[in-house]
Amino acid sequence: MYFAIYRRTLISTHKERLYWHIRKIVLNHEDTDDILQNTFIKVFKHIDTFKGDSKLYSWMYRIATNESLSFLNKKAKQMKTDLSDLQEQRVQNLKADVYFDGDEIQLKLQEAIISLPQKQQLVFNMRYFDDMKYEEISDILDTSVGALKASYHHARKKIESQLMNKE
Amino acid sequence: MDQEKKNILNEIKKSGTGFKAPEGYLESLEDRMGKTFRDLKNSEAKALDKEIKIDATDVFPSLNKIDRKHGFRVPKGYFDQLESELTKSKKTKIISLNDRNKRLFYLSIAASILLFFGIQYMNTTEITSEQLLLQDQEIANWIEADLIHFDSNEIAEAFSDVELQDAFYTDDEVFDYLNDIDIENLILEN
Repeated sequence: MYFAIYRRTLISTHKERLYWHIRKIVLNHEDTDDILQNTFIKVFKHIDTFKGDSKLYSWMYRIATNESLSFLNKKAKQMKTDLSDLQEQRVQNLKADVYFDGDEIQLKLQEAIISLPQKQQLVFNMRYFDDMKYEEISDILDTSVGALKASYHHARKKIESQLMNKE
Repeated sequence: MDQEKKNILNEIKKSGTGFKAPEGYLESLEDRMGKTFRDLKNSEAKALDKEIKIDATDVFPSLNKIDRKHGFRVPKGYFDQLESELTKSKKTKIISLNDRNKRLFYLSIAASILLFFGIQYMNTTEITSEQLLLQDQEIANWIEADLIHFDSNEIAEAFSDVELQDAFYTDDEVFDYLNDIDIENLILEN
């Protein structure tokens, strides 16, 4: 009984941030929904192994990130293609996606993001869209703040340059 | 040029990511997740019901506003004292034969031996019958005061050399006894 209330509260508190975090990695709503539900199931299944050495939401973000990346890798394997081709395809699908109402520049931005190495994509999304602090990102990705700052700087530079060239 | 580039990203950011979620999707997520959890196999559900070992403030952010003080206190220095008390009681005393206790140790052994033989030598007188009687009387008092309990086996063992015939009172002795005592009191007492 108490666990059900606790579960509900935990979902309510974190669902939105986790949803958008996953969505920016896998791009479409349907897959995001599956991954989000799997994330919560994994969270509750392994909550007794949560050591408390990081914040609960960082731990949940880590699970969500791993789930999303595993999903993409699995999908690429199934389709016998590599990850960058798969992502390229998924960005192109956004044009017909009813749950994407971005204009051309936003689509270009997504194209630029997926051209980055995987880790830079994550750092850029978390910092640029979610305004997350480097300390928080560091907790989630288990990377030093210095390395994250460098990563974000490179990512931003590459994206800006791509957007300028495409214009 | 750099300023121009920065403006592009800043401008895009203002209009958001372009991603949308279906209407009511996030609002109804808890209910749908509730169903998912109910549909899980029993074994998995049991695993979910394990004791929760997490920081409640992560789940209930409003708890962050509450000062984490429970109000209970312990006497000043209690834990320090407790620790030293526990350590003290656990320490075993080590007798060193190399310090000044060495002499005292041997002296005490010698004194014990002397005292033992001394008592044996001096205490040669036999216990008098009077002393024995006194002891019997003392034992009798204890039995009467209900301080010692014997069962029939113990009594039989103690009087193994007494003939059964001699152990009984004669009829006259019983009649005399019954005439002397107050029957009413005897009944009340028992």
